Amino acid sequence: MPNAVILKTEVRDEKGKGFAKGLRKSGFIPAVVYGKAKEPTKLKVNNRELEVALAASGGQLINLNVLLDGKEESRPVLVKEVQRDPITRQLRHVDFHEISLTEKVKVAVPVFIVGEEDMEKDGGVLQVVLSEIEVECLPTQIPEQITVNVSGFAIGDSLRAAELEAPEEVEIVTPEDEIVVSVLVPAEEVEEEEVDDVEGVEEEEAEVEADTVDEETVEE
Amino acid sequence: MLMPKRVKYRKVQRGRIKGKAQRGTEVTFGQYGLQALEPGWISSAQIEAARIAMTRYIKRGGKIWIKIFPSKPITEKPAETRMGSGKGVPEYWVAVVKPGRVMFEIAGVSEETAREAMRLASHKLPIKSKFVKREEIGGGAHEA
Repeated sequence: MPNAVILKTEVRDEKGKGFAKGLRKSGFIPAVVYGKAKEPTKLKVNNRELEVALAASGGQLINLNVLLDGKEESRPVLVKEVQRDPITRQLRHVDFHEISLTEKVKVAVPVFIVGEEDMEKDGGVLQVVLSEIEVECLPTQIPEQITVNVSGFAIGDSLRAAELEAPEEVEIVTPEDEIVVSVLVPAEEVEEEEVDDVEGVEEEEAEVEADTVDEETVEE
Repeated sequence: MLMPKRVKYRKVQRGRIKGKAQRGTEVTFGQYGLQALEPGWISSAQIEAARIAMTRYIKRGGKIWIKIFPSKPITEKPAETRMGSGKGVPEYWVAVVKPGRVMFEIAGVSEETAREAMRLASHKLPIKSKFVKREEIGGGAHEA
């Protein structure tokens, strides 16, 4: 694994809410590694090192150096799940999936759009329908991204998964007829009219609501 | 304005908003979003006002998603009424929002346009909120 990012981890025995809280306070993140026919192992990882590894690996292969009783063991893993605080975006927990380097895996790879500046100047709006493409390949050959060139696209144009260009060794699993990007007709500019309509609807709805309330009260 | 078509019970108790949002905390449909930083009730009128503010600003192009729905009826007693004589009548509908919830999403516009549209929308809401961008898990590919 020449390109795999290396991440140091330690095995932990303790678990639970209180312990995890203390662990996070001391700059570590609770994690777990599991794989085929292997018992799950509880780990702790340095927060900063984990952030660096996640950014550097781009979600690709990570070589996990697991420290157990003073001995280091190397395990190839993929990031299965990252839990973050919804507001602070601080890491809370990470799941690693141990894999075999000789077996193909299914991964979701982000779509990277190029040529947006060279699209036809007809006012069309580019809509990215699929932001990720599912591919199947060996863990060492996972592409960082799937590039989609949209230069020359005009209103009504779209690109399906079948037309995507991926490296030879990578097979696209996403159904062929699924649309990845499309150029839509821009929404009409209906400034004042729209406002009038909305107000009209508001009044109508208010009446309907009031009516139903009256009826229901009578029923009671 | 947004409201349920029919409900099982006309009146509900107020309840209490505890903790952070567990779901709907990521930008999933669009490219940018507006995330709640405080708990609160967002009325259907406020949602509508925010939507209008955004659509007016982006003028043409772009797409907006509203990810909250006002499903809680709020009752009010008529003005100058003596206490008692039962609960008031349902007056309006609110969405219960916890911190972390992505309330609106937008796509198909530049970041500056989205930022300004969200700023205008945030002024129509009763809670603090922040502008957020879509992010992929771990910054790249991840296991499907």
